[in-house]
Amino acid sequence: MNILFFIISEGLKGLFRSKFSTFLTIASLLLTLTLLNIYFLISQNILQKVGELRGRITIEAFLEDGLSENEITKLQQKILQIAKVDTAVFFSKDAALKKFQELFTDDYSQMIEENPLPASFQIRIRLDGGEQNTAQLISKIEKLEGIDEVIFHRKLLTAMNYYSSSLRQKLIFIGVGLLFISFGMLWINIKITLNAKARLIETMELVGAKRSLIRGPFYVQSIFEGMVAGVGSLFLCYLLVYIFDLKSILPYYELFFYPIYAVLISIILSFFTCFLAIRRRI
Amino acid sequence: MKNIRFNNVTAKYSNGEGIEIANFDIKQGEFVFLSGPSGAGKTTILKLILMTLFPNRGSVEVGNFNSQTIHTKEIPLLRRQLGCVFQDFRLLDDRNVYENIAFVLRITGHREKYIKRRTFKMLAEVGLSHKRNQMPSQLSGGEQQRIAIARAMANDPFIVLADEPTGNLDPETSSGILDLFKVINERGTAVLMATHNRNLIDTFSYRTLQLQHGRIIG
Repeated sequence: MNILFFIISEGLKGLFRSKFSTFLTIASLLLTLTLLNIYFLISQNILQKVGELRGRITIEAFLEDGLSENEITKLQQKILQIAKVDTAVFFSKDAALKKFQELFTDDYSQMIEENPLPASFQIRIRLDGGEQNTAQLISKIEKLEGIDEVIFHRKLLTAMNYYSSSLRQKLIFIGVGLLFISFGMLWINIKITLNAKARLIETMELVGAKRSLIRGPFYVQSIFEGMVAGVGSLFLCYLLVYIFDLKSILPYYELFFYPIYAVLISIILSFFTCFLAIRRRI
Repeated sequence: MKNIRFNNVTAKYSNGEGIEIANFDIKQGEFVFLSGPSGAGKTTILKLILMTLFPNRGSVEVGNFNSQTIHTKEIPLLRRQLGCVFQDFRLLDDRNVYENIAFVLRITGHREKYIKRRTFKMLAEVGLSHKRNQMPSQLSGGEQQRIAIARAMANDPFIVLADEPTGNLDPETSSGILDLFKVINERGTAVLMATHNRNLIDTFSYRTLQLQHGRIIG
């Protein structure tokens, strides 16, 4: 208990003993975490927009003529049971004609005796399975009894799938790159600190301090530095959002500001870098 | 009884310096000078006792520990039974005088009450209680060495190893430091002092291990 108290109190005192090094660590963490937060904010908004666009793409499944109400309901249930189908909204022949008349203002009902437009289902699907899965899904719908024809924007869907997966990969790559930059900056900073304290550490070893007792306060210090930088970067991001009115450009700004996660990432990054650097040295 | 024993110890650095076939004992309560010119092997012997260096041949026994059988994790426990005083003081310059002495007690897991009592006692013994809140850099060389001695004695070691403890001090201050070592020895703690100061050795009639080119010649 005394040893644990010693490690924690030494770690906290260490924050103030080496003020410059503490400042450098927190400043570099704060800078990279703010960049990371802004990056997440932007990428989240981009992915949300892409998701929205994809969500607007619907598949039209035209029905054979003469289906009873009961058959249509059963068909709708069968469609909804297919994996990745989100919604299937029924459009009757009359609704189709009404829509047609809205698009083309001329009153064709006078010219034709019977409504030639078929009833249909407007189907929305989740497009997260790639092009092949989408094709399989459409083929399943086509094979259902009562379905006459399925129409969808194949090229648009393919392009959407390609760009969204490519964009996601690029965003992940940039995110990992930023994390590595943060790690590198912290690593250099801790190495400089350890070099400056090399003699101190050696003296501690000579007077009988166990390695765990020398390392422990560094770990405690890194956790607190991570915590301060994490909270600071969140605060900075909120300021940026309000000062530059990013809310109007990035409407999904709330979505990525999970404060606990941001602080946790900061603590883990700070502790993990410190852990690796110190284990190599002491 | 805790002793130090060198059994046919040879320890060489890559440049060929070090010590060769050293055999000697230091018994509890003894005062021993390690004498010889620079590079004769004085510091090597202290390093072997502290087990920052291990022999190429032979063995070093320090109390209950043996260089051939000691586990890495036991080395801090060995060092807690020794007191170390260095020529350049080696105080922890990021904390004040009180914290420097308290540090060696804290790492052994003592209670805060005991640490406070013991630290104040050690400060009183070296006559620097009034400087307890000062940083090492605010002290003179002699004062820093006194604090180093107080720190070395805090854990009540059976031997104090002193590597040229007066090397950076003027004659008057050196004399005061030597008096402190004498008092420590009179209380039953062994002292092994490395020095190349012939006058110092001649002033005291203690046993001297004379080193030359890594060999004990007397």
